[in-house]
Amino acid sequence: MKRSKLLAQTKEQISDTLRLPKDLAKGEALVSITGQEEAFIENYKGILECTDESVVIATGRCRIQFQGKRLHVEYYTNEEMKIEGMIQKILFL
Amino acid sequence: MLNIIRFLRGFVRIRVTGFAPERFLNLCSVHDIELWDISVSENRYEMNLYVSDYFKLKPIVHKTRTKVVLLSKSGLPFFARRWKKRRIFLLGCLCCLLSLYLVSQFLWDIELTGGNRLTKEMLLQFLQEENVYYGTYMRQVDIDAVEKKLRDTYPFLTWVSLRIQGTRLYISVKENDQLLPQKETEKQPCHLVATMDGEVESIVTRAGIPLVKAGDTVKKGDCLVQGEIPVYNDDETLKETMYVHADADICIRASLPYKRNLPFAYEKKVYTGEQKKVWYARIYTKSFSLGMLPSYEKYDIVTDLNQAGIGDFYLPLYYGTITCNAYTLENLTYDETTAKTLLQLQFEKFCQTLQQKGIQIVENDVKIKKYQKGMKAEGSIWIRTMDGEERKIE
Repeated sequence: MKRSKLLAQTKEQISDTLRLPKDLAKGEALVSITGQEEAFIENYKGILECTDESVVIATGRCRIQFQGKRLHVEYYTNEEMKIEGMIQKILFL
Repeated sequence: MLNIIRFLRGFVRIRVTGFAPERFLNLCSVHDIELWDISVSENRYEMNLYVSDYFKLKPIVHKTRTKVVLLSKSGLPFFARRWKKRRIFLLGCLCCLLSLYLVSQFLWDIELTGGNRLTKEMLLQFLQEENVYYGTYMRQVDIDAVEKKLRDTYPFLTWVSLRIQGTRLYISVKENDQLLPQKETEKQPCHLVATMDGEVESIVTRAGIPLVKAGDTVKKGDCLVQGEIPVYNDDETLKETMYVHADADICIRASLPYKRNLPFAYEKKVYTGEQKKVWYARIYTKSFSLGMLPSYEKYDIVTDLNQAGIGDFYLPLYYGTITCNAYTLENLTYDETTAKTLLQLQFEKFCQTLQQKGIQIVENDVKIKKYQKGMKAEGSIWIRTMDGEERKIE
């Protein structure tokens, strides 16, 4: 456990020193939101739940939940996805 | 752009139901299967995917234990298959597009703006000489050269601009409002001759030798002023002959015979009110009516023609209507007073025309008389006018 923590810290230090983007270095998800009606997500692992009112996406570190109304996935590829609808909440679970 | 690619590749809409449709989505993503328009209702997932990807779904469906139902097929591969049987129709559409493209390569309309002294007829004649006319291949038209030639041919044009828009040639010109000074033509030696029979009232000679004097009677073609001046020596032998451009003001009094007949009987057009409209079309120079012309005995034709086109894209296609108005000829007769009034009016109009030409009317003895079938105005008009026509010395 200690060893993995140390490894993570070292990784972070290296990426900070090299000024690498966090999404590349740590595999963090990238969420870009345009207004209240569009969200682009990159660096995710998959969809866990997809309904009219909630879309849950699995990322490397956590799960992101989009809550709202009339939600739907406009497109879904290996690299990027777009969610459209009335987004009311974004939760990191 | 993306939509066009999707249409060209062809796509299907499927419905996924089962235990874990989300897993189905994730496996699709792992296998690089693009999905779009994903909608969910009551645990039924509907989405679009490319046709080529549809055939990769079998192992995923098996793995996730879901059920896939094909809802619709769209795009070019399906469209082409559906239209395979209608090859001739497609060929016709293609031919239509091709002919439209070919037709659009030619000039079908010429518009002139700003021309006052330069009329459209003059312009069309000029363009015809320059090989620019309705139906010319547009790439053959050298706009700059035509512009230059137009300016050179008509010096009163101060500005000329030509541009082709669609299948139409726009010509904008600006004209010089001031009159250009007329070139002094070199005066050729000539005589002055009479153009009518009459009596000379006065003569003022500026150049040449006068051959007549006031009170002389002249006939048409008589020489009035001679442009050939002999120069004599002291011993009255001819030294040389000088030739001048004869110039003089010669006032001649002449009589013009006037005779007009007006029979009492005349025919008048009476429209019956019967009318028939026929559609009419013209393709380039070939014209034809789209219907039968009426079988009236006598009728007037009024043609209303429009050129077909969208915006500036004009085609050599004209359409319109032919309106045929039927009429009959009714035999009527003038009474004596009306006939007399009409003849008088005719005579007054004739006199006015003469005066407009600068001819002075001295007197007239025109009388209106009745003859067997109608009325006639007969007599002479005495006029006073300037005469003398130049005749070149050979």
